[in-house]
Amino acid sequence: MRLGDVPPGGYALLEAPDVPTAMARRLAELGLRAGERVQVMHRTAGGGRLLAVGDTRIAVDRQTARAIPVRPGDADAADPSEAGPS
Amino acid sequence: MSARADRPAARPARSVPSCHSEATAWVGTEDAPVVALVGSPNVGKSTLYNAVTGLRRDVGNWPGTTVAVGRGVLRLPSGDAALLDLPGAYSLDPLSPDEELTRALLVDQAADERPDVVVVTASAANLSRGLYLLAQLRETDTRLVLVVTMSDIAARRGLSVDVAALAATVGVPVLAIDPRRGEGVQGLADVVDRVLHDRRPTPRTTCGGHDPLVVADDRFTWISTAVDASVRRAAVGRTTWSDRFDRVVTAPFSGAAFFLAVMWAVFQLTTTVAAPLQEALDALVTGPISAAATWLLDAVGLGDTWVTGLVVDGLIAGVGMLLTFVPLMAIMFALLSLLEDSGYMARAAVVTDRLMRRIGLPGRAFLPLVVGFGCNVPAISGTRVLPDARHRLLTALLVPFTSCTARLTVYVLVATTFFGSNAGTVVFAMYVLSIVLVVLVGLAMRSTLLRAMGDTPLVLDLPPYQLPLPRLIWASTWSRLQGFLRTASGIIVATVVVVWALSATPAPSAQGSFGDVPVQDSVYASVAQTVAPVFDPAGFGEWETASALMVGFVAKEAVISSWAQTYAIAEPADASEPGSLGDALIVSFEESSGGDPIPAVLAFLVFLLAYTPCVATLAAQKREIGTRWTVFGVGMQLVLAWTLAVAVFQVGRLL
Repeated sequence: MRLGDVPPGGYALLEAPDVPTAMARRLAELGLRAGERVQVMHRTAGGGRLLAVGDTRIAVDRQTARAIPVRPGDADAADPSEAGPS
Repeated sequence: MSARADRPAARPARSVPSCHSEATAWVGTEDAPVVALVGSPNVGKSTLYNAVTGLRRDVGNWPGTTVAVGRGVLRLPSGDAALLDLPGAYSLDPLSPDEELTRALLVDQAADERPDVVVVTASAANLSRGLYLLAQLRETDTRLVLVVTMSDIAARRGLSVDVAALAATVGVPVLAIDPRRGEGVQGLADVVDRVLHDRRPTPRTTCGGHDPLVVADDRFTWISTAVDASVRRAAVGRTTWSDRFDRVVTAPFSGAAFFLAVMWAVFQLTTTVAAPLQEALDALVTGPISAAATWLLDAVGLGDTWVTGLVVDGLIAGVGMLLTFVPLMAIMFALLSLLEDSGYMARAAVVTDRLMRRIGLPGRAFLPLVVGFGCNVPAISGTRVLPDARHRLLTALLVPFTSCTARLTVYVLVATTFFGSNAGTVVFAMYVLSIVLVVLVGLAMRSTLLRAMGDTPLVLDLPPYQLPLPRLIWASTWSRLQGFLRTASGIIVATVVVVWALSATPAPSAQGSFGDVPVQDSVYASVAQTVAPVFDPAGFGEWETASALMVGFVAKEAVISSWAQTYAIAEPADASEPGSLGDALIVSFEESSGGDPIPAVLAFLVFLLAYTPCVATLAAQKREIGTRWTVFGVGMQLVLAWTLAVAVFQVGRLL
């Protein structure tokens, strides 16, 4: 399952992304790293996704959303802002 | 920068050519300490820089690069320091030329050329994001200060940062500052001064050795510890009003509609609202000011001499032209500041990303290109919304192909003269061609000159919405306006004076004296006659047309008045009623095209669209992308315009 497959409002646990190292590092710097729990807020113009990562909102395009494998996250695991420092 | 013996051995500069003397000259202080301000984008770094330096600042490209770096003075208790505002960077692992420059200056260049103190800015609303850069710098012996901004936004989200606890965990002095309201700014100089005279810190060691991912994990653990120790959070609701607003402005349909509405407003403000202000300034300069100057010169006995011509038609006309850009540029700069400061610009980038990516540009490039259809000059300055210097370069080279309103006047006059009731269709076709040129030239440059430009996917941190503060918008507008006037004034006034001088000088074979010669007998006309044959293959090789195109290089508004002057006909008050100027043009194009005026006129319109818009655009380009790229742009436009015009005429006459 990929991040792009998560329905709006759904939660996901990120796994290591299939992107070049430099990009993986940038994703990690922005809080999108393996093990992190994110909420997919909604679909953006152009087919990307708006993500809630901790207290911040990050827009990713369609390709990036497809390049990040995820496991289904637990909606009851609490609010993303409480999922850890970010 | 001051040399010190206690620094580690120099490492070779990697991304940026080592240009110590040049860079020192640019920083402007040989012995003063250098303080650098760094931080990720949208954390208020530049606002802090503005708050600290007031109006004593300058923004320019770092020597040898197109990356903009601000420089100013930080008044410390022990004396002045040079303050550098480095481009926004999430980390020292660069993904763009701007981040490369930040890395090069902070880490890669020789130890004695690095800044003496680095101030890292981080947002309280998202502390961990800002601490990554600090974590990397803590692994060097750089003297550091951490500034925490946006505490107000953090408070709205139920977050607060314990500054003392944070300082104790990260091992560097920490200050909470609200640069937007100027709170806490005073304390920065004292802390920087103290750190400057402290011993260099011992670098933090990381586990993981040479494995970058393990090292990165170690940094994230360090950051987590610091955040856990210092950030207090109250329970907050899951969906904020900001989320609800984002749902509207970034969603597929409503996002596009909102974006178009914003672009429409920007376009209206930079055209309809700016126009009367521009006309009023123009009327003031050409009316009372010119009259007063003429009267004054009369009074001192220089009335009918060339001096009056130089002062009124050269200097005052040049300054007048520069002044007419002031309201336009002020509106543009204020809008840029408003869109950036409010946080909307990042949302707009999300909405337009996919469309713009097709021509290899990020979504934000949409704004300068839209504005270009009003006027190219503020559009070139608008390329500053692009964080990547290569994207700024490409966009600044494409903007001249957007058809500005000054060109529209000429289209209307020519199209009405030659196409009658079909004039509207012809003018519309020019706009379609303008868009086609932007797309095709963009694609061509992406696959040739700028091939190395990476195609970084969109991963954008959306900054929190903020209520724009008028004081900040004014400060930013004024500072950018000053910069524009400094660069543009010389180029614009000099060009207008040169054109005046050429048309005031009689050609060697002609009668008359300097300052008293009909334009057709001037050196300017001789130059136009020499240039005219170049346009023979395009069907408009008459010297009057060449002359109008040469003046059009200065400003497209002048094309019609130049024609009127050279045909010795009064300039039509309304471009859609060309009158006797229209008759003169029909005869001229009939002759120059050898009986095929329609293809020749179309070729002329295509040339007018594609060649250099005006000298003010060049001045703006020089400021944003440097002289070399500006000259390249002029060459590219001329070659492309000529080639297209010849193709249109040659193919058109066969049909």
